[in-house]
Amino acid sequence: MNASTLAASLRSLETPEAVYRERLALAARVAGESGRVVAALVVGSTALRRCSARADLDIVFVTGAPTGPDRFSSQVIDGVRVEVERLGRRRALACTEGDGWVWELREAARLGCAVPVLDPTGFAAELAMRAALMAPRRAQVEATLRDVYVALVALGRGEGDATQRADALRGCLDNLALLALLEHPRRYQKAKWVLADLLHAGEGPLVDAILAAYEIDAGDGAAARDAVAGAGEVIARTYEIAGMPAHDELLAMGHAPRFAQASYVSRCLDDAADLEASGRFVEARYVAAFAARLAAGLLWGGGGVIGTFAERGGDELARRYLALFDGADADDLVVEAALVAADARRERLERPA
Amino acid sequence: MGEIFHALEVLNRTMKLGLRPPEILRAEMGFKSALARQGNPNPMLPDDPVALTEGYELVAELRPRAEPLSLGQLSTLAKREMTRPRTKVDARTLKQIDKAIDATVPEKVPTTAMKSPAAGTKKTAPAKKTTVAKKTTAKKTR
Repeated sequence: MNASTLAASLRSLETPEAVYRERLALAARVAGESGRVVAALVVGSTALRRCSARADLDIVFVTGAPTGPDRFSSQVIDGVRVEVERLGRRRALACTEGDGWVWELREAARLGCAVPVLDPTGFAAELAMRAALMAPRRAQVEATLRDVYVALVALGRGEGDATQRADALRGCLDNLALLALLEHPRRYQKAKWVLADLLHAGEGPLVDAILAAYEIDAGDGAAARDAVAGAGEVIARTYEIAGMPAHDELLAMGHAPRFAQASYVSRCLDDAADLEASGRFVEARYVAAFAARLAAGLLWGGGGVIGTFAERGGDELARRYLALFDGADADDLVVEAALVAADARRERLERPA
Repeated sequence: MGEIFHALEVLNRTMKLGLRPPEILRAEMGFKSALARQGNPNPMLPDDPVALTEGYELVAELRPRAEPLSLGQLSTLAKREMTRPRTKVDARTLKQIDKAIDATVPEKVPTTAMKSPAAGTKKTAPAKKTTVAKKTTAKKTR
């Protein structure tokens, strides 16, 4: 499995043109019936052409006046759940200004990558331009890149045992994927879309490196199911140790600020299961393993993912985590590819504005 | 004795490793040998680990920490580390070291008292005598 094979398979999973047009037409109809709005934008999976015919249709109405508590509404039309968010003009402008990090850039990209179905004044086009001009926060890019380089120096020196090196390389590549995506218009949406969005951004070599580091050599269903189940076990045990509610409970809570990090891990695992159910096996394997890696953060250990699992959950938990991979050492070529990717981010950072 | 030996002694004590002086000496000789082969600019350095140990020492100094490396410097360092032969001591060198230690340990052992983790007493017998005694016992049991 490599980036170009994955890209070909993802193209075949894109929303069919007829379905896409139908959904835009439905959005335009809803916008037409909604009274006066500055612009109506289709956002989310429809705008990015990765929705099914029955998926929710997300629309943002930009309004001239600020919005109140009735910002969100939902209705089912022609068998499709239509979720509408009303957003004041000033707020939309504020969302697409300056620099930001993951959250701010994702919010801006939601508007920036939207498909306008009603835009009489060109406001949607202005939002798209403003969102594209936003940049990831320089200090945070630099700090993240510094961590990546320090890890690459250690990898170059051959420090640690084979499993630790392989895991450190996965960590480097996770960070590099984040930095690469933050540079591109879609930004970092969530782990579920990382591989697809990296391919969309033309970052094929980085995808190749990630697939190699995560030891994803084939896109078969059995391996994907095993990965989701294995990650589920690691996460369930991690929740037990950390005193968190169970995975299903967290999902049922929806927005759960008290358990924000665990909730994110659970949504990630749920996305992996969803990808597996939709036949996106390569992405399912990646997201499942990524969710397990994220779960280590809940245990506040001091020695990387493997060390943390071993320290807080004993050898058994570390073994369960390592069972998600074949146990190969970090491949020198992949380490070099990570360095190339890091240098690309650095050159962009150091380029005069 | 050189700073490597002292560093290893501190490591031995703080981490309660229970290493005996000949073992520390072995590590010191291995490290010097690896360092000499790893691109030390002095072309006069001997290959022989014993000659290195006897005739050379690594001198360390404390100085103000340098400015953090820039991203560009880190990148260069990562590149260099990826292509540089890794610090290792081959089996042949270790054999030479062991042979040299076997022959020279009684004279080379430092006078610093070493405390094993199991030892509950505050002071141990002079290291030189202990080592010689242990060494003799070890040889007898072989």
